[in-house]
Amino acid sequence: MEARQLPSLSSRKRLLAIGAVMLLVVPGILFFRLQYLQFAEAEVLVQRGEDQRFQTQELPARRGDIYDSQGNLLATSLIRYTIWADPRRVKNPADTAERLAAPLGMEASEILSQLTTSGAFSYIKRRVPEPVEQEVASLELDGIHSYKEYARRYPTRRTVRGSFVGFVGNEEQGLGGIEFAFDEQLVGKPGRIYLEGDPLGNPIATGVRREQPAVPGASVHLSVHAPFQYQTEQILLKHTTETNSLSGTAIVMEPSSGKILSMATVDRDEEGNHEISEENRSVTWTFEPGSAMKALTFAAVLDSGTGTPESVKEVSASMRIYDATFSDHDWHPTLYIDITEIMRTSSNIGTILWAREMGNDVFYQYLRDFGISSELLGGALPGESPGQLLEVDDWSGTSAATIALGQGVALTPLQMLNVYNVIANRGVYIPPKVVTEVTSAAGLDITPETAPPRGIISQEAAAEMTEILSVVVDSGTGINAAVPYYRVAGKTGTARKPLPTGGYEDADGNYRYITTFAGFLPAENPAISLIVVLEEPQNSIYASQTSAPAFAELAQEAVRHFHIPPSERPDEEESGE
Amino acid sequence: MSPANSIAAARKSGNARTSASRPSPSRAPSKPHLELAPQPKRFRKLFIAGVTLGLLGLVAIPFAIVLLHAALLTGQRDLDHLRQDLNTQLELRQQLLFERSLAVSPQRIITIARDRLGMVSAENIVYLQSAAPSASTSLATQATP
Repeated sequence: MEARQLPSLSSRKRLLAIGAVMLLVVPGILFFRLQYLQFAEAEVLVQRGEDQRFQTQELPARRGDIYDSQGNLLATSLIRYTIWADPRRVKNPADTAERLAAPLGMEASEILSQLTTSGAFSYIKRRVPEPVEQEVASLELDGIHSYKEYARRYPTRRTVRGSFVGFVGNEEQGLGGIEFAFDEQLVGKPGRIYLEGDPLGNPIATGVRREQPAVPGASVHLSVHAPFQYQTEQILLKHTTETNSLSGTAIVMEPSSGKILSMATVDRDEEGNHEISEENRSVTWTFEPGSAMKALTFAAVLDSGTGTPESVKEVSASMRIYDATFSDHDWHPTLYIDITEIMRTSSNIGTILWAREMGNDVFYQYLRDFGISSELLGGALPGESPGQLLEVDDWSGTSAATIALGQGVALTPLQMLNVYNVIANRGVYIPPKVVTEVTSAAGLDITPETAPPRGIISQEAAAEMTEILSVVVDSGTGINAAVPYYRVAGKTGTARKPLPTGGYEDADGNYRYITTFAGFLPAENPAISLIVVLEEPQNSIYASQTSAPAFAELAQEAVRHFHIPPSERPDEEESGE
Repeated sequence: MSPANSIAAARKSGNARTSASRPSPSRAPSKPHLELAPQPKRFRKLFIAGVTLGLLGLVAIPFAIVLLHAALLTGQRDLDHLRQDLNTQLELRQQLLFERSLAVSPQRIITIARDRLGMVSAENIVYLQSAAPSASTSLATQATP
C-alpha cells in the first residue's frame, strides 16, 4: 500500500495564505456590507420594514346633517356597505354571479361582466344596507368582499331637496344647493388608524397603535319649515295647474328676521302636465315684475320727499316720452289723483310722472339700495342671479319710465319680495337668509356672518307705503289677495314677457304675460311676507285674477300654520265695531 | 507625638499594623495561625433573605410586567369594544332619526290619509269664531286701564 503523500510545505503555506485571506476578506466584505446597509440604506430599509409591519387604515368622516327650522332631518349620512370583487380570486365567475344576483337585486349577466374584468378591483354594488351585506357574506364566495362607507340619504321629498338641500356626487362631494354651498363645513375631516400587524395583516395586540379619530362634518340648520314647504308646493301646484301657467314660483318669508320659510317652483312639461320642479327659480330666474315694482318707485318718491300720499298730479290716460307711448290700462279722462289713488288703480301714467319728477340719479340709487342687481343670499344658494339693471349713465330717455313700471329691469322673485320686506320692516333691510345656524361636531357655532341690517327708507315713508298697499288690497287691484280677518298690504304686477329674440310682441302680434302678487300681513304688524309669480297664465293675463288668489290661499295657510293672530276679531267685524 | 496619638494613628492605619505583624521572609516558615472567623448570624440571615428576594424579584418583576401589559391590553380591548358599541348605537340612532323623518313626511301622511283612509281635502277652510265674552270678562276688561 502506497503511503499517502502529504502536501508539500509550499502547498501548506499556500493553503494557509488562502485561509488567511478568506478569514480577512469574507468578514471584511460582510463588515462593509453591514456598514453600507446601516448607514447608506438605513432610511430606505427602515421604511420598507415599517411598510411591511405597519398599516394605515383611513376612517371616513361622517358628512354633517342638514335640518329644517323644526329640527326635522333633511339630509343625513348612513352607514352602508359596498360589495366589490377581486376578479383574480373569483373561482367560478358564472356561479358566483348567479348566487349574488338575488341578494343584490341585480341581473347575473351584469354581475358576471364585472367579475370578468381585468385587474384586482371591481365594484359589484355600492352602498347596500347591512342585511344585504350580511347575506352576501354568508355565501362565503371567493374573491367577493365588502367595505363600509357612508351613503347620503334625504328623507324629505325631492322637491325640498331640489330647492334647498341640493345633492352630492358618488364620493359624497356637494354638487348642488346647500350641499354645494356649505360643502367645506359639511364634509368633515377623515381620521386614520396606524397599527402594527403580522405578515397576514392581522393587528398585533402588543404592537404599536396610533389612532386619529375622524371629525364629523358640521350640521347645517335651515330656515325652511319642511311641512309648510310641502303646503306651499301643493298650493302653487294647484294654482299653476288651474291657470295653466308655464311656470309658477312662490316664496314665503318672515320679514323681521329675513328667514325664508318656503320656496317652491312648479313647471309645465311639454305634454302640458304640471309638476313641482327641483330648480329653485326663486333665486335663479329673473323676470320683469311689472306693477309690483311700483311699491319701490313710490317708496322712493315718499322717502326722497318728492311727494306725500296725498300729493296730487294731473294724470291723463296716456303720454308720449320720446319715441314711446305709455298708457294706463283703461282709458280715462284726465284726472287729478293723489299717490294713494295712483297705486290703488295702478296707474302707469301717474307712476311715470312721479318717477320722472324724482330724477334718474335718485331713483337709480334707491333701486340699488333695495338690492336690485345684488345677490341677496351671499352664496348660500348656488346659482343666485343678481338680476339686471342698467347703469344710470346708460339709461335712455324712457328708462326711468319703464323701470318705474317694472319693465326694462329684471329681478329674481326673491329680490322683488325683498322690496316688500323693507317696507314691512319699517324701512330697514334685513338680509334674507336660508341658513340660520351651522354647528361644528364639537358644538361650536360656526355660522357665517351675514350683512348687518341697514336702513333704506324712513319709518314714516315705510308706514305711508304700508297704508297705501293696504288700500290696494282693501279696494284696489289686489282685492282678490285679501285674507279674512287679516289686513294685507300688497300689490299686483302684470308685465309683458320679453321674447328670447328681443321685444315683447311676437310675429302674430300677441304678448305673453307674467303676473305677480307680492305683499305682507298683518299690515299693522307684519309677520309673514309672500310673493307668487305665474308665468304665462292662460285663464287671464291679470295678476288680480291669477296670482292674487294664489297669494290669498297661501297666506291663509301660512297664518294658520305659524299661528299668526288676526288683525281684528271676527265677531268685531261682523258686529261692525 | 504623644504615645496616645501614636496608638490612634496606628489603629487608623491598618496596613501599618498588618505589615508589622507579617512574618519576615528571612524567618523560618511557621504554620500560620489562621482560623475561619464565624460570621455573625444576623448578617447571614440578611444575606440569604436578600438573595431570596432578589431571585423572587427576578421572577416576579417580568411576571408583573406581563400582568400589567395584559391588563393594559384587556383595557384597550374593552375600550375598543365600547367605542365600537358607541359608534354602532350612534349609527342606529341616525338610522332611527332617518326613519322618523320618513314617517312624519307630509307627503306620506297625506298619501295614507287619502289612499288608505279615504279622506279628502276640505273645499273651504272654516274658521272657528271665538265665543262672545261673558259679562264678567267684559267688566274686568273695562276695568283694566
